[in-house]
Amino acid sequence: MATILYLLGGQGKSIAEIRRREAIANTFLADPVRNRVIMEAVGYGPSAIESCTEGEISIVGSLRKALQDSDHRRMDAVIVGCGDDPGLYALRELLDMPVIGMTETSCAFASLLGERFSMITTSEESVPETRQLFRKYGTLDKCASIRYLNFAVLDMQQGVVSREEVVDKFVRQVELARQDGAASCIMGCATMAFLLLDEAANAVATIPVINPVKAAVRAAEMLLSLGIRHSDTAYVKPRDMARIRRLLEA
Amino acid sequence: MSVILYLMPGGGMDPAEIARREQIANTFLANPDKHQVTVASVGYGAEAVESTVEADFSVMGLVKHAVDHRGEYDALIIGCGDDPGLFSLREMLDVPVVGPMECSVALTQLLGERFALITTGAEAVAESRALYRKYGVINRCASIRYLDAGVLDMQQGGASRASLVQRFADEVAKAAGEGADSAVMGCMTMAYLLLDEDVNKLSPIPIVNPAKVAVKTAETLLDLNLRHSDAGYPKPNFAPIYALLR
Repeated sequence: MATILYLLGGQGKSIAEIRRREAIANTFLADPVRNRVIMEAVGYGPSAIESCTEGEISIVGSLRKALQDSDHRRMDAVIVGCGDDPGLYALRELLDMPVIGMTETSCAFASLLGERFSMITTSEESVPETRQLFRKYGTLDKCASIRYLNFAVLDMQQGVVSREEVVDKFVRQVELARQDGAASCIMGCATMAFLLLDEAANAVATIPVINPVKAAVRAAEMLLSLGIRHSDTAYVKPRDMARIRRLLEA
Repeated sequence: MSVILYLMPGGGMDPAEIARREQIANTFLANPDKHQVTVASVGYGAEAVESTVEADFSVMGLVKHAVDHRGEYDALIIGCGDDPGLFSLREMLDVPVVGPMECSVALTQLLGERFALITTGAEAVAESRALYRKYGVINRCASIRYLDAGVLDMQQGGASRASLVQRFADEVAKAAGEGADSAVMGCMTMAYLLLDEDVNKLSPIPIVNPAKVAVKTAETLLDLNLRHSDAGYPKPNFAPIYALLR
């Protein structure tokens, strides 16, 4: 049985919420006999990743945990559990197993559904950061627009805004994205993904919506079954791992 | 049980080879209890798709077969590394349509910054470059190399598998030297020779088998209940097209 570690950067989610998400993530598997998803949080750091700062300071904890878990052979693949893909390239340098970023994967997937996609994320502050991420991935010219719900991550998680409100606003943004020229939409935030907004939207929207966590779980399984992972020529192994370990273990 | 139709353009392939490919394609499924792959050939037209002429020529047959057999399959894979007719088939069909090259190139994005194509002959190079320009991935393409082997020679054993494995491994190594972080096979005959399985063991960069990725992508689209967007591939006025196909 292969284990896919869904790594939550930072801290603050209740054990109950983590178990709930883990159960949902396991329903996304193509082959639940051969694969399973375990979800674990780093346990310290930011409680939600909305700003660039929160994203970047969450990385050290994720690297540390991933390296320890890899040393103990606890997993066969890693999914970075945040829509900003924080630490994606650093994790690939450190690890010898598939490392999946949900937004990178969703953009790749969107390229199969139509010429351009839109991202629908939580709030305005994510917009410039997302644009930069797409520039880094080389997919900015396929991005028709970046829209947002104007809801905070924690408010959605804790039910301060109801799922109905979120769904309603999300579906409206999807239709606006189509007017922007998008042929599909991706969600920018894992909390939105675990609300399964895609299932509500795909029933009524005129363009397909990609759930980034579903895409990420499937991509992890795909790479595992193909027996391939990222290339050491692109994500070059650090010259002196002992030095990196000293840094991470300090 | 959903049916994934793997539709090969052209005609003339030995029925034993079609059956062999179908058997292999079904081993690529993540969930064979839920999905099955049927391999079919259009049955007329080019014997092999190497040139742009053959690729363009094959589209009519693919579209006609796909339309005539509508309702018999739940997803369609184009059985050719040039993805002939990909966008046309998406315009015509309401089921997922997978181009092996398009989805393989998408997957290479997860493997590294740049990819290489290893294809059959020199005539495929310019065509592949044009395809990558169309897909918007040309700036991630580090090199296009070829085995200098004819598709029919590979199919009919005119070139031995051992020699193809060696040539393929050599081209992959050269591609890595040119800055490629992964390598995609450009031809489904290469894919069904499973050259990746020999070469991945010794290669400095991962190799993507487009036949495998296409099957897994079709399965994923079916399971996630997604297909291409009508906004991306607007539905045409069908009546004159049906008249053309008759």
